[in-house]
Amino acid sequence: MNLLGLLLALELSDGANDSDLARRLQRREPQAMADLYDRFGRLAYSIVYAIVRDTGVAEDLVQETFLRIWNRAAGFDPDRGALGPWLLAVARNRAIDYIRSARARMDRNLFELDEHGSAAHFVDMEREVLNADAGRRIQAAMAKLNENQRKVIELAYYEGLSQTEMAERLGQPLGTVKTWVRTALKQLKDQLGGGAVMTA
Amino acid sequence: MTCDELKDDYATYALGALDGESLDELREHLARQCENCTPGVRQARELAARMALTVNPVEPPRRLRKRVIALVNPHAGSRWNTVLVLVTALSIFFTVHIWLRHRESHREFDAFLAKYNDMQEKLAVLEDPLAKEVTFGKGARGRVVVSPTHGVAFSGQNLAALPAGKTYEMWIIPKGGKPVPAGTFAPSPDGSALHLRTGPVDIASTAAVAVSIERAGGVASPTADQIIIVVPL
Repeated sequence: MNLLGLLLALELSDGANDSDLARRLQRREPQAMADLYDRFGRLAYSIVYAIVRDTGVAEDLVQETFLRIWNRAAGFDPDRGALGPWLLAVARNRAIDYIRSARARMDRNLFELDEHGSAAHFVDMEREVLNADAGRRIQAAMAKLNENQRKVIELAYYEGLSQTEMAERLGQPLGTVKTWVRTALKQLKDQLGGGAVMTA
Repeated sequence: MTCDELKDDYATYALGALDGESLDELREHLARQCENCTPGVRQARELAARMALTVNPVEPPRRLRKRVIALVNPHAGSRWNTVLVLVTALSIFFTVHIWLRHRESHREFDAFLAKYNDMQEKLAVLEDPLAKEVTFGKGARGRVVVSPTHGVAFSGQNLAALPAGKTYEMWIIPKGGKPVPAGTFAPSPDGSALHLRTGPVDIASTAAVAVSIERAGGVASPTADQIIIVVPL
């Protein structure tokens, strides 16, 4: 168990406050931006840094992330939306877009904001999706994956690779990679139990 | 492809790893708000969201918080930021001061000396460890710092520009007494202002600090319906 990860998760466990924070963002209260950063800045930076591995780039991308949330807050539903997951998805998408651009692999762009980073995708998500218990369970579940399963999940999450790209990277048949991905996700679902509702 | 054939791909899609024909098919289902695939993908996004909790925590540089906040409030800052700005300004004034002395321009020197003294007084209020600081704000926002020995400093942001012939006027309101005028001021073009009223203040017997909009030059008593800010102490 990563203790720091748990502490991070504890910071993020208050869904009611997130609703209030979202409303203040919509009212364009500058202090809301400071509170948003205090709530999610460290985790957003950790995710972006894990992907780009460059502190300067990570700072720029996190700054862009918060600006995007600020500019798009009007389209967020404070009563039904999950603010933290939305922000972290935008942060991850910005980082993956960056490394894709840096690697000149722009033939496939799965991480366009509208497809995976739109506020609308985070409506009716469980409010406590990022709480401490979720942190413990996802880390325990990841630890139980075998090496191949963990590798493909990490390639997808931290590098934004598609199954076809993973197959090329790993030198494995596409069908094998698909099996690893599918079984990994099913195992994560089973390990997470009812709290992580997933159809896989 | 049918929804049943696609349901095994919901989580892969939410993770961003789906491609090929399955991706095209699922996108088509989502585009037409498919009643099976839309909630299925929505639920699958929870797992992708939880993946954020698997990251190794890295502490961001402290300057990043300032950068993010500056995106929406470039004049935001702590009390120490204000002090830093004033100290920087003091350095500039010192330089100008020396230059003006060299030019033997006594009149200009006196003007700069007055500004220097004003800044010294503001610094004294802001740095007084016994001062009471109260923030206020929605719309026009900022803080009031009351030093029992040095005076009252009012720092405001988002102050509206006033028409010709009008000014902002600060008031110190004693408990059970009439408001005492504490000087007029005009905000900068960016809507910020730092106004000082020097002299000792008995914090215990002071109810509030207020700001009103009055005619240029100020008035002896605040116009009731023109009081725009009241900061209880």
